[in-house]
Amino acid sequence: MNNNGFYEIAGLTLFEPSNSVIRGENGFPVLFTKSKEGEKRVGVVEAKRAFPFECENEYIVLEDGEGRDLGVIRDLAARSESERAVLGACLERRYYMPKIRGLYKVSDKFGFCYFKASTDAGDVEFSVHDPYKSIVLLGRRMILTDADGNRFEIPDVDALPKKDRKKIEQFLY
Amino acid sequence: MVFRKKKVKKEDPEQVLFAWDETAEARKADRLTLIPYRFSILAGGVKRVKGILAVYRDNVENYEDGTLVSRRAAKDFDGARPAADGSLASIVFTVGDGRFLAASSDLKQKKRFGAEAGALDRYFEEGVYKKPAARQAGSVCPKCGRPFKPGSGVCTHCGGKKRQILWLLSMMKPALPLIILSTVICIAFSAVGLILPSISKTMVDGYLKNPAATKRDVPVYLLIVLLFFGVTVAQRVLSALRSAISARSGSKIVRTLRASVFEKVQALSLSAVNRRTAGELMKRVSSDTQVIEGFLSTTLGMIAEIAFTLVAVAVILISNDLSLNTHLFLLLFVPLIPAAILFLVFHRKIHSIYGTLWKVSARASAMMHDIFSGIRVVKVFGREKGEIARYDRAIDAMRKIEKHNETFWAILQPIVNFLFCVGEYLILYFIGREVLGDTMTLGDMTRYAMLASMVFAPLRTLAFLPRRIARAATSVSKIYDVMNDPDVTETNGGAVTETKGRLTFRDVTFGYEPGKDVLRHISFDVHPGEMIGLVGRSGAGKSTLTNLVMRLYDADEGEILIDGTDVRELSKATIKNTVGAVLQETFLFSGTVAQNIAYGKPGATREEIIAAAQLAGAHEFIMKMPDGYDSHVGEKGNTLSGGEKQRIAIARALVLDPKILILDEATSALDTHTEKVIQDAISKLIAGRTTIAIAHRLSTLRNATRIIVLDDRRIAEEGTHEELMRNENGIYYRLVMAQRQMSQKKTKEGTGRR
Repeated sequence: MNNNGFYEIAGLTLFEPSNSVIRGENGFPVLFTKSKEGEKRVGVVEAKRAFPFECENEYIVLEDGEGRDLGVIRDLAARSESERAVLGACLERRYYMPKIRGLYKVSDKFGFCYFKASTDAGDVEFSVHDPYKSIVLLGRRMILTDADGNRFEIPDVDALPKKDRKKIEQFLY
Repeated sequence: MVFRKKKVKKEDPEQVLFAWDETAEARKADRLTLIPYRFSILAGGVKRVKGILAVYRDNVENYEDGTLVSRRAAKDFDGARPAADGSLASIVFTVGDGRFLAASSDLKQKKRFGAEAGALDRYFEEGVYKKPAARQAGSVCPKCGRPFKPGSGVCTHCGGKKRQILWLLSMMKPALPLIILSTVICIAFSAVGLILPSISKTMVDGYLKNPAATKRDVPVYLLIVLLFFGVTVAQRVLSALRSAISARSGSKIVRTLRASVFEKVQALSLSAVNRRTAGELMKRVSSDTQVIEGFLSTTLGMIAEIAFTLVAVAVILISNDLSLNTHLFLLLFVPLIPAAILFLVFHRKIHSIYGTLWKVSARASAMMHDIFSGIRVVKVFGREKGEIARYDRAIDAMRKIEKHNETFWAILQPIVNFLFCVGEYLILYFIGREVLGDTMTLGDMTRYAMLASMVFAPLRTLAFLPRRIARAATSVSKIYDVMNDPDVTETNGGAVTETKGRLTFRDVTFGYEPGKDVLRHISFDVHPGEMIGLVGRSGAGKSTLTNLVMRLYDADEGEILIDGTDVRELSKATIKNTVGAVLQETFLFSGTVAQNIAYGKPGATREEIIAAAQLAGAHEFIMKMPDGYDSHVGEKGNTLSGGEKQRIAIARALVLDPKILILDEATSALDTHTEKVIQDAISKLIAGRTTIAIAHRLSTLRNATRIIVLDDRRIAEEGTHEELMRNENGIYYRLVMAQRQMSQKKTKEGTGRR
């Protein structure tokens, strides 16, 4: 299949440094398109990762304020430092997820699982409702979503100290 | 997300603001709201701060760690919106297409921020600030600080166990006489058995080891043997009775349990049901109820039997020779103590095993349900092998845990059994020593040995008890989670005796999530018999509006009145009988055509069913089926086309003879010919009924009395087709013209091809 033709039919817009530029306004990314006529302000955009677990800095989807798709930045590395900074900050806020380094205590009662953990953002205590749904194992990476929707990550369950790993053994299946 | 359990004295944000800004107290009367937040609004990325957003009538001020970081005029903003679709909850103020981050915190603040953003949005837009309703707050138990379950206002932790036990007891109520009888039989079984050691003692001491006993005593000895036989027979009879009664009480309990869980699932609101998968709910209704039944009907009797035996043996021993027998009785506890310690140590492990087993088995049944429901898609895409592999992985995980479970018990149980054996040998040694020392007769030894085995035999069974309790506790908590879900559609049960079909929307605002209104300030009147066409782009809130009439959700603000009565005050039955709906998705249940048509009115007469089918234009094709109205449809039934299913669905709505009819894209999935047939049917049936119709093809709404165009959460245009077409800049005009152009293009293409 000719991919370019397919993208055209699908209406997929790829933002490259040659056809677009991102600038920051009050900390929000603003998209400008570039053409022979010059730059045109599209507006404030939301940046989202199309594959948040697989590629952190690739396939960044840009949406307008109403959630309408504008296009995709294939690779952040190809953008300028200032563009990476403004988009990176936006992505950091959207995908903020403290990394768990160790587990002090894990207990469960009445469908809640209570965690006392050490993270890269300090010590935290949180509770997970319906752990069997809110704790997801992606390979050896564990994502825990607490009762409010905040997310925590264990990047590699096998890298946890053995005694800590035992505490979450029931979620490893 | 960081909420520390240790009670930290909460700072009053107002006092903090007063400390940071000396003019704040004097300006208090002018302040609309005060919102504390956790992440800096200036850092770009994520930086923790202690921040306060103070919104005054004229100014919006941000303070972070004691410093004023931003002050802007309120008139600079034209709106506010919550942003909580990522990892942080934020309030964003808008200025044209520009934005200003006003506050940012963890998602614990999602509800509050949503409500505050909604209130501030209205302030910036309309100049009126209405403090958000209190219901937006309080997702955490004030007593223990733990969060409530989604949709719940009750803490499961505070008093949760007590409530679970009370609920379980209430489930036993219908089978209570049988349970009591079964328990009494268990105790009687044990009591009858307690006679045996005394008979043995008499047999040995009175005859076998009595030098004075002669052949003349044989008849009496025979009587004793017969007594032995009688006791054994009585025990067998009691055991058979116990089994029969347990089975009866078990089936009663499981019936009550299943009925209550099923009833509860039906009572739950649509959003509460959507939170769980169908496979998960099925598991709770079918297998979890079975586990609880097993526990209540069998294990409870077993516990009673063991408790009675222990007490009775203690009484027998202590009443005979206090000092000697107290020692013997205490010896019985020697193996019990380490066994109990073992179970206590492994308590968490046992629960965790059963919890994991529940999870993987629920996942496997949900997966199976999913695959079977979508079997057509599987076949079309040739994914059979992939699905087999996926299911195989799920059941393999189950096998692994079961293996782990069995290995665990295979190690633990022999240890416990061994401990009991040690106990028996200790007693044997102790009483043997007494016999050798001539302080005890051989008959007494036999009696004590039998009493000991009477205690240890059920205690060995007791070794299975933690396993059964753990399994039952897991099932109880899973079912209780459903039973305790407060997210039900409540009704005050009032009924309107005769409805005319007048429908009133009075300042209705609604959003599926706090702060994200889908409809805002919707007000309109529909007179009886009027047909209203709802138009708007997808996501404009058309179906939401009809969902509110059917009371699938309740309005956040304002009211919806049917003949002057708020729908929240009407009983479910009244709403069901007044409002009929034909939806785009037509789901027919497994059963006959007649049963499907009469689904909403089980008592419908055959005449009513035929009349509804005729009105819906379904009668003719139904009669072409060999079994007419008795033809089976749905799963395993006759295959119907989309149009045929749709017409049966219309008949299903019409059989109720509803005064208000909702047609939500009722014909959009059909081909032009079938649509025309159904449209003809619809034009017949809407006569005399208040109708709200949503249609993608605007031509089908041409006959509507009025057309309401929804846009940006509000009513953008309202009028007849002709009136709206006069406004060439209007949304409706543009939509109609776009559709006309499209159909003209299609016609040209069609002609060209010919």
